[in-house]
Amino acid sequence: MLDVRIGPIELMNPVISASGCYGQALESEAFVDAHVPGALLLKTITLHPRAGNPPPRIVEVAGGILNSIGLPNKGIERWLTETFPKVRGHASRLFLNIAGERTDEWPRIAARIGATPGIDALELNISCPNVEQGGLPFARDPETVARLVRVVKNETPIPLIVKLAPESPDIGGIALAAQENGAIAVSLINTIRAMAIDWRSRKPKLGYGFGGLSGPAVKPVALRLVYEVARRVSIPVIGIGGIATADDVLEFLVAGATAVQVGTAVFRDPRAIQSIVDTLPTLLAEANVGHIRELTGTLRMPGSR
Amino acid sequence: MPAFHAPVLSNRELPPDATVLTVAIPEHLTLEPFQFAMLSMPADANFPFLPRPFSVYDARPGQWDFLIKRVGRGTGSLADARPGESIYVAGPVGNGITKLPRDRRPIGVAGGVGIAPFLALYREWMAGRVDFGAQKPLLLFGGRTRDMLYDLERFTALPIEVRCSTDDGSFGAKGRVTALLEHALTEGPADVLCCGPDPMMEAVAAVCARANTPCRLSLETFMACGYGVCNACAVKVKDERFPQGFRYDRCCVDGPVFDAATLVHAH
Ligand SMILES: Cc1cc2nc3c(=O)[nH]c(=O)nc-3n(C[C@H](O)[C@H](O)[C@H](O)COP(=O)(O)OP(=O)(O)OC[C@H]3O[C@@H](n4cnc5c(N)ncnc54)[C@H](O)[C@@H]3O)c2cc1C
Ligand SMILES: Cc1cc2nc3c(=O)[nH]c(=O)nc-3n(C[C@H](O)[C@H](O)[C@H](O)COP(=O)(O)O)c2cc1C
Ligand code: FES
Repeated sequence: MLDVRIGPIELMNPVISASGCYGQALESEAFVDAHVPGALLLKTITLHPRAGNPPPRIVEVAGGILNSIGLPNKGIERWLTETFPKVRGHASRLFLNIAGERTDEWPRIAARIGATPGIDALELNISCPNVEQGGLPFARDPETVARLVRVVKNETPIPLIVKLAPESPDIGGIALAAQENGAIAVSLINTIRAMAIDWRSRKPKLGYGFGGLSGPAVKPVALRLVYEVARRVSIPVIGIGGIATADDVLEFLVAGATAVQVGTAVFRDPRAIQSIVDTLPTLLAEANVGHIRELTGTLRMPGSR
Repeated sequence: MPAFHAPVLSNRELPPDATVLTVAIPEHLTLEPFQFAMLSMPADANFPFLPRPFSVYDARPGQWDFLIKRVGRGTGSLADARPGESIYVAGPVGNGITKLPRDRRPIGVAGGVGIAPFLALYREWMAGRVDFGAQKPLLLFGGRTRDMLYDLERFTALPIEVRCSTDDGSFGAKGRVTALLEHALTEGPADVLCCGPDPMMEAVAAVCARANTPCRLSLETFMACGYGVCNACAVKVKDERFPQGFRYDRCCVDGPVFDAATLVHAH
């Protein structure tokens, strides 16, 4: 009663790990079998290795956290040769999240991955800042995103999911651009750019200055955006933002999502995804819902347009 | 590794600012000294939002003790937990210590609440599960005042040698624990394992470097997850393969104990 479909990909359940919150390999297996999430989605991999930002990289705020981790990773070459062999075959589905720091890096990462068997989908982290554009995210306008999806698609047959940034002025337009250029799904939201300040020292609390807000505090924003985007596109929407319980998952489905990702919640409870997957059938049965798919997009808006 | 709700069995205050919290854990759990656990109060799900790392202070079948010093809201709410309540525990996590060099005298250097991981170390040694070689371990324990030599009686009761210092001279030698260390290093070849506030650990590392003595530090880096998935707990480690000359390791899964000579120190 939990299986869902994202384009050509069948998932045993709709609960996916969120990029950057579930490691780059099988770290999560310390607490939960990597087969438990519908798909294991790992931290962003870039073309070149990155050290990441100076600490402090995470601070707590009311209802969540800010992070400025800075995408530390080994780079796609070492990830594929050193890490991937240990991960391959250990998850129900394996999704890889990638990002380019310059326009020309996107096709190069995609080409390196090519048709590698064992990677079921690529999620494009278009919130990543473009160093050529003074750090503006790639996600800022539909044309940029359309071009990016096309060049990546030219280099790899692996299905593409485009991960949307909540601040994009035209998030619906960007989602449509992703759909028209062959993405199988869009996922949202990435973190919301934010700050925390220590007024006494006149310094930001994060080593990098700015960070991204995540956790329960972003859930209402994410629900609204998922609702709006799901009305604009016909491809599946993957909801992300502050999900910590099975009830949260079902709220996102009613808003229009087909699947969800769980991020920050696994820091507080490493077993969060296991608990959610275990609880979903009970909630559905109690509400007389035969299959989880029946819930997607069933929100009854007052005076709905 | 498990994550579980652990009923609080007792809370023994160590005035003025610390407490020993004893909780029930699954019987089969084993622990290596210097491993730690991530703790949170299930009732305070919104703030502090993240769990906090604590060394397992003492491990008995079915029970763990934590020595908690109140420094902020997270430690405060955990230190307030009373029998009848439960805390949420994820662990043990991190790499434990199971052996020390056999040909050198093991010297533990603890500052204040940095004493926490040493009790399990000496107990496991007494039980024959940590290999120390033949020499009697020496513990150097420093605190600002006598009150901050937490639970000192438990350590002086062990078959180890204990030397203390306090900043105000209220107990043991007056001054810093590094002075005790400098003296101890003149007594013969040693191997140093240290846990305490950052400035103290840097000073200990410097003393050991000058004396050509191996030194390991158990770092108290800020953590979010504690099991390697978030990359919050970045520790600067020297690495010539990188253009900047260092890389970031994760304190939680690569540590918490690091060889002092490999670290890029803040000062
Ligand atoms: C592996 C490991 C083992 C630890 N073991 C113990 C232990 O056995 N007993 C114990 O009492 N503490 C231990 N600590 C430190 C403890 O985790 C922190 O004191 C705690 O996270 C602070 O939380 P808070 O909400 O009370 O403080 P906050 O409100 O977050 O901060 C209050 C003050 O404490 C400082 N602080 C915050 N985090 C840390 C930190 N990680 N280290 C040092 N200072 C910090 C802040 O800068 C601030 O000045 C350990 C830390 C690590 C990484
Ligand atoms: C510590 C941390 C690291 C993250 N790293 C990445 C990343 O590397 N790539 C990415 O696309 N999103 C990253 N994210 C964003 C999450 O995947 C997710 O979109 C966001 O946190 C909202 O979900 P949540 O509230 O469940 O955490 C990160 C989030 C956090 C908290
Ligand atoms: S605290 Fe999350 S990786 Fe170490």
